[in-house]
Amino acid sequence: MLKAKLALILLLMLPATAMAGGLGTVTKILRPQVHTFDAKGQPSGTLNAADIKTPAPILALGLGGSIGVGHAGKTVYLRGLDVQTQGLNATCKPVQSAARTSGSAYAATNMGLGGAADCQRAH
Amino acid sequence: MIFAGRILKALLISLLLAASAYAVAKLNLFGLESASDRLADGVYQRITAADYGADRKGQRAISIVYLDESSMEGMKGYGWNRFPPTYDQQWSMYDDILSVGGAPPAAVYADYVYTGQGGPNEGFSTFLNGIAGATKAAAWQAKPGCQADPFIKIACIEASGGVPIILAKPSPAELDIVTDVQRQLDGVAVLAPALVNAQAYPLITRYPMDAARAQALGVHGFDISPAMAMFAAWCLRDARACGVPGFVEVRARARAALAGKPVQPTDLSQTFDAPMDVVWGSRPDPDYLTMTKAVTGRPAPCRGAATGWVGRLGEQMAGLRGPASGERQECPYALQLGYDRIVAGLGLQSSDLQTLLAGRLVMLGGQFRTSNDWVESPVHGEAPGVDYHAMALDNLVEDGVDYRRNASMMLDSDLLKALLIAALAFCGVMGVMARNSLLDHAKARRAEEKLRAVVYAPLYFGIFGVSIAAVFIATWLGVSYAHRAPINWIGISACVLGFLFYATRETLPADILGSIEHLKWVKRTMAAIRLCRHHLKFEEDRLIAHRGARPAPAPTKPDAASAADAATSRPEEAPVHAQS
Repeated sequence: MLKAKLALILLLMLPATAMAGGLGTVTKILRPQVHTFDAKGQPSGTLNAADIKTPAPILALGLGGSIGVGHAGKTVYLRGLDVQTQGLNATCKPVQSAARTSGSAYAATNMGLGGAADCQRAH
Repeated sequence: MIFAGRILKALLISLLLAASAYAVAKLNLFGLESASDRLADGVYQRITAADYGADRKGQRAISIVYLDESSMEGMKGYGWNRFPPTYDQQWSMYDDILSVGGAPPAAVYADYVYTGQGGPNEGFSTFLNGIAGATKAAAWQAKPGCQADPFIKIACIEASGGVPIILAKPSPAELDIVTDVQRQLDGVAVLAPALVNAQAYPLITRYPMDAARAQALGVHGFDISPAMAMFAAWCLRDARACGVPGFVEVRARARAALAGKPVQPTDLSQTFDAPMDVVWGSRPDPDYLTMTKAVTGRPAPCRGAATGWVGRLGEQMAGLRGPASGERQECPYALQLGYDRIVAGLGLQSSDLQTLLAGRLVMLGGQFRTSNDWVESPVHGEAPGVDYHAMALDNLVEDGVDYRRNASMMLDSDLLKALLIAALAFCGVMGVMARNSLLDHAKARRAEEKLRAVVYAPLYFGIFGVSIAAVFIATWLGVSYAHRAPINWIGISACVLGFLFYATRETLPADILGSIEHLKWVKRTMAAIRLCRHHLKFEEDRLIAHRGARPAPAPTKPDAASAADAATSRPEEAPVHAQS
């Protein structure tokens, strides 16, 4: 019975692990203390760098490209600026430049490059 | 033998023309003169933009970190749920700028005006304490000498081991209000008036106000513009002080001020004696191109690589391209990245952040499409206000005290233009007189009624070619060696060429036709033109048909001579068309 439960848990964890591996891993926390957020961007406190075991699989990406890692049984979201990652540099799809009209002003040409709004991960 | 009278006549004509041009320039009717000046400057800048900053000295020193609508959207993922963000959120942005590059920037300018009037000042103490910590305000804010003027204040910050932080403020000349928030920020940072005249970027501004009023408005001696403040911070770190002796003096005064000694305000108004005519470059920073590709996965949609001034001149003349026209436009000159891109970090490496921030002159600013903080760049079309400050700073880093002065604000540039027009018109009149003398010579020596092409071609080429070349050389010399904004070369060329065509309106066609009139097709063409002119001639036409002359009143005393006169004059009074 115990073996069957273990097998079931493993089976359930496999897709999540595979998906996490697809997003990449956090290899290093760059600051002694980092701010954390929930998936919608609400601040959820701070964590010490030592509280997050690295390498940590990236479980999800939050609003604005925040990086979700597991901590105490739940996903907390960190700023990309505060961590070093591997395998996250996915190809982006610039949507705003494609929507730009010919002859538009400087602002329309050059602004909005590389932001979360126009750089979407290609899945 | 040369007639002195003819020379005086030529002189008189040219002076009359110059006086008319001067009067037109001074009248500035409908603003045409100033518009024409701006146009000449803009076209000159577009032609030479690719040659600006060949060594990329300024580009290696200056970065822009901006916020725009998409930044605010992206930052929602990090708790930025209101606009403007709270003070503590903004402090976290400053903290990132100061720390994540691996080494702090050389100086930071924020093109944001903090007045504290936009609602509750959430987290203001965090913001204030953060700024105070970064500038090491505790070491210098209580020293009166460090508040003598903005230069000494910046030097005090650097001497205390802090990073100069320059914050925007409204110009005291435009707004005579200083809020509590501004006063507190003035105690820990440098405030610089950000609302600048787009035609001429001021460097040092002195206000006509007494000391008490200046103190009430938070003016310490004088104000310096953001670019000037950043340049001072850059030079005060430099061992050579950018070759400006005044900055060496400022450093010494700051040390004295920190030691508690009284110091005199700095006077750099002789060195930076005029507002700047900001020169815009067109070649984007290679790091900008690399980072844009890294964060978007595609190359930046910039206009092609610099084509050199000859290609650009051709473009301008053909009207192929103006600023902000065409599918691909100039990318920004300075290295720049949105703050949300830095926070998300997608595609960026630590080395990129180091390139962007460490030891650089970092300018923070808004690029919100819905704001009015945009300026007209002759090269880029519309550009964010912070780019204007960055470009002015770039000019200072590139050229130092030899920055391009705004000529119209310094001397009577209209007089200069008028004198140039006079000189060229004088040469034109003398050229026409020389042509007539040559024709006399040809008649006398060879009994020819016309000039040969080998004689008149070099003459006319000389008159017209030298005039155009003289205008271009005067423009180039003024820009390159006198460090002045280009003269109105388009207006001067048009004026001089117009006069020369007028002066040669009879001789030039006569000479050219004299050489080619024996050709059959020329004969036909001339006949056609004569016919056309005959039909289009209107100067003697009448709108209403003539109904015949009134009978002359009968003379009371018949006079045979008068009657004869009347009879002969009648046909002359008849309309021209009636005769034909």
